[in-house]
Amino acid sequence: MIELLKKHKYKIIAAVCAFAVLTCAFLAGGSLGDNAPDVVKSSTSDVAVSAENTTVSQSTNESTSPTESPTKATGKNKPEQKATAPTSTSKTKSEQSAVSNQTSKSSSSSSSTSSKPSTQNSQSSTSSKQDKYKTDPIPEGKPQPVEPQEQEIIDNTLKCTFSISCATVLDNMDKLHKSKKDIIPDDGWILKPVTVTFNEGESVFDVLKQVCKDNKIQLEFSFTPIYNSAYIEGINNLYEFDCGSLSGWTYEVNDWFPNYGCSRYEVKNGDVIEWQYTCDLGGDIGGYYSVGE
Amino acid sequence: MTDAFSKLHPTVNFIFFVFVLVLSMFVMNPVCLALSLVCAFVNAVYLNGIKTVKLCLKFILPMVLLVIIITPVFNHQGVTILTYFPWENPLTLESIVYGTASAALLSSVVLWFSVFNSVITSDKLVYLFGRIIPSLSLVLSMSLRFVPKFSAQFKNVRNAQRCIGRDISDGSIVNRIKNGIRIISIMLSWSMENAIETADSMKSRGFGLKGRTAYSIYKFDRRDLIVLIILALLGISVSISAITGVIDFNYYPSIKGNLADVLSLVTFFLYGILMLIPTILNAGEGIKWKRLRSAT
Repeated sequence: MIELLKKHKYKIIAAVCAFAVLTCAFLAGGSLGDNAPDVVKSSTSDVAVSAENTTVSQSTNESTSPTESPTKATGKNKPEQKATAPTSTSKTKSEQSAVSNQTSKSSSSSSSTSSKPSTQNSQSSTSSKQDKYKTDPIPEGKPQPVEPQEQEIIDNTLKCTFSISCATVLDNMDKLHKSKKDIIPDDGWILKPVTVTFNEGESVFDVLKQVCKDNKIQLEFSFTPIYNSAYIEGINNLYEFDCGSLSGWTYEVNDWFPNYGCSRYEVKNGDVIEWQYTCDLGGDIGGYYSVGE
Repeated sequence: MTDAFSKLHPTVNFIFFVFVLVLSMFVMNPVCLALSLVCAFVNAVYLNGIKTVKLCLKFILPMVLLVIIITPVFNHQGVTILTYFPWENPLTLESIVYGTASAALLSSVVLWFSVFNSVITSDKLVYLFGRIIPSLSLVLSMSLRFVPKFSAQFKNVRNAQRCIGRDISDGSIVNRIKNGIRIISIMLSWSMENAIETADSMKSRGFGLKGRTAYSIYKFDRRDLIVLIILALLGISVSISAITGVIDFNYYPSIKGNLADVLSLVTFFLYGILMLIPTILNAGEGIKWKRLRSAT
């Protein structure tokens, strides 16, 4: 027995090592997958802390306010100008920063991020407020998203108004891809507002699919797990980016552009759903930019 | 093998392949694709015989089937909806047609490259580019030569190792791996040594030096000039009509294109003649040979 073990010891060691590595990888991978937003959060806060450290060190060195440090660096050569006043303030500053390190953390980090481009700001400040599918807070009075996995479809017939429009393309015919000219209707309506029936609990995406099938309108979508929603790539062969690099499909329910995907919007009785093609990231149909976040 | 086209000057051969390959790669008109596919197949069969059929069955046929199946699965554009996939995206007629067209394009390009390989041999390649880009042409011909040379040497080394009982089919798994690694290590050191020797010997012969003359058996004569002029005229006129959009063909969103108007018919005719130049030359040679034999 022992001889056998000795003979095969390398094989056994190799097998154990492989198993251990795989276990570690599995555990690490699982925890990474679960806590992905936390990892992002901690990394951004690390950035904030390090930025804060640099600003604190700058302020202890010489300057009164961290944003002015580059100009102060040149002013360092002639300290006699500010020899009286700034020394005292810098001392108090250093004491303050040493004592109230914890309290200044929030303020300095916010100031450092606010001085940076807004992308950094939104990422660090909203990562705590966004839900797990990266949706910003829903405005008050608007319906909360319902995950497609949780939607219960009850067989009872409700009605809503549904329309598909690409009127914005008519103003941007020069940007439109040459081969797509024929598919644009003259009045811009791919589907004029109609009343359609749906089952309670269905999402906007379900209704769109059904309507497109009934009216023989081509539809292509891809499911995006990170937003837990379908992404509409093209309707009636009019695709995203067909009319300039800022173009694509958006949806509007009761004059509001929801800030989450169409698979997560549960349709209520009497809703007015409008699918609109934008050529300017929503600016030309009254969404996104013009609403102002 | 008597191939009149291969006996032309390498420059003429090379220009022919530049025109043919570029046009086959970029023109998606179905008539042009069919012409290119048929001509490539005829040329390949004439030059390589049974090998071409093997290539078709082993490599091109599976590739064609794969492309035809995969395209409609991932592409849902098109106005004619045939049915819906289980994941609820539509299956459209246009995507099937487009898949077929791209399969034809791929297989014709593969066939043209097989023709290219048997017409432009490595000595022609070195002749063409030896003076313009010497290092690249040397590397190219060396690497083209490498694979067959390596496999021949591999067989030798393996046989030698088998004689002393160290084959990769002997003993336990560990032993086999050991023997395999030994053979690979031998092959690696051999190929490195070989490459250095080749490079040294090329250097000692002064390859790539300025003002170095090279003996070549290729002479640019009147026949080459005539073929080159015809080739250039045909190629340029087809290219112009391809660029200006005479033979444009749309697959998405709906299948649409002119196949029967005069200009595109003329273009198809010229395109066909361009691709049949090797066949025409060979046929002409054959007729001449027969006439000479019957005259005596």
